[in-house]
Amino acid sequence: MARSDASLLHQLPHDRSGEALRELYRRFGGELFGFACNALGDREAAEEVVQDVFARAWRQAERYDEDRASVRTWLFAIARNRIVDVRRRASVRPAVAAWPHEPEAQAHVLEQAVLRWQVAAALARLTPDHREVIRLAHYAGLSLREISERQGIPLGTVKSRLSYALRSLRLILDEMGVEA
Amino acid sequence: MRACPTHGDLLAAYALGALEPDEAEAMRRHIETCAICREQLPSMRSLPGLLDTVDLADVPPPQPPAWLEESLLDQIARETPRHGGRRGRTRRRVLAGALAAAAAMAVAVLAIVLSGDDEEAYARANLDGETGARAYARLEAVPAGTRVSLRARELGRVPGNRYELWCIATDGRWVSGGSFRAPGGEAEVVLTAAVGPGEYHRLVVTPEGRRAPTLMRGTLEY
Repeated sequence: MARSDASLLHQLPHDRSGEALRELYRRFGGELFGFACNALGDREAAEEVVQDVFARAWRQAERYDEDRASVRTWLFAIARNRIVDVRRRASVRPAVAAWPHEPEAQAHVLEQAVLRWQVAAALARLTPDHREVIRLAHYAGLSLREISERQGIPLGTVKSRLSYALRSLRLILDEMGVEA
Repeated sequence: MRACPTHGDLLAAYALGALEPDEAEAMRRHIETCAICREQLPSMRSLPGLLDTVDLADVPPPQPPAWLEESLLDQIARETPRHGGRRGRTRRRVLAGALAAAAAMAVAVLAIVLSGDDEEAYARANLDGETGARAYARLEAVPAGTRVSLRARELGRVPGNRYELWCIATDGRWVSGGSFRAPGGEAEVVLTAAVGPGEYHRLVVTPEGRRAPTLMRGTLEY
């Protein structure tokens, strides 16, 4: 049976093999990297942030309290702080976009970055056909009829495909806890 | 989620604004009388706004480079006292210095066209990168470690066109295989790395003197 996130984290200080850290990285590294990339607009800075998040998690694992937050929430909180630090240094990193001064505005930017990562990850989980029909109907702004004519697909097929595509997307986003 | 038997298929298109004006008007009137569609509309209505937050070019979302996991474990191993702590760091610095000298020598001395003869190689690797960079490497055992014959194409531009080859050891260490120049993004060079067969499993090419960004990577086939 797969070990829980919390038990992996508690194991970190005593783990000589590095397997617990590796497993945690595999569970959350991609998500944190996507989030950091979104928030910073710079892959290199995001790589540094992700490495630092896990290094800090390893050093501070004993401070983690299972009753207060999930491991995911805890790791994202560390990532947020690191991203804020990196953005404070933005003057020496031209690749990192402008950063608001007010904490509320900063929180909003970070929430948007998480949301963008979640929507992109949800779209990535759809079938290519479903992603394509969403691209045509939403991003290209075509009507069902136009899609049917352009793609040479029966109108009924386009209707049901778009319907399945959006229902699947909604389900995936619900699973991820995206409510809006 | 139960769908409306007559208009279920149209609800998504309606929420996205993908119906013709007359169909949209008919759908609007239907929703006023259909409890199922009315209940399901809000969850569909939020989708266009969510879709607007991303550019489809960003799908799938970016993934961390493969070396990041090794680099992290390497960092932790260095910070763990029982793994050598400060002494380990000093040793690494000395090793890094020696490797840098070796790399400089490799650049000065070696830049030859490969013969294509693969018989002596103990392993090979095909490297590739996100921007189209690709390379073929063949690896031969020599007294100093491993001779890496590298043929690279379409390496992205970096300052001075100088690149570095890294061997990622099985214990997570990054061992420099030396640096090389690739004018116009192309190179055919031979480098020497202080690693032996079985001690490493991945090759990575970065701008010289840095571990990031990864320009291309590949796994060894022994």
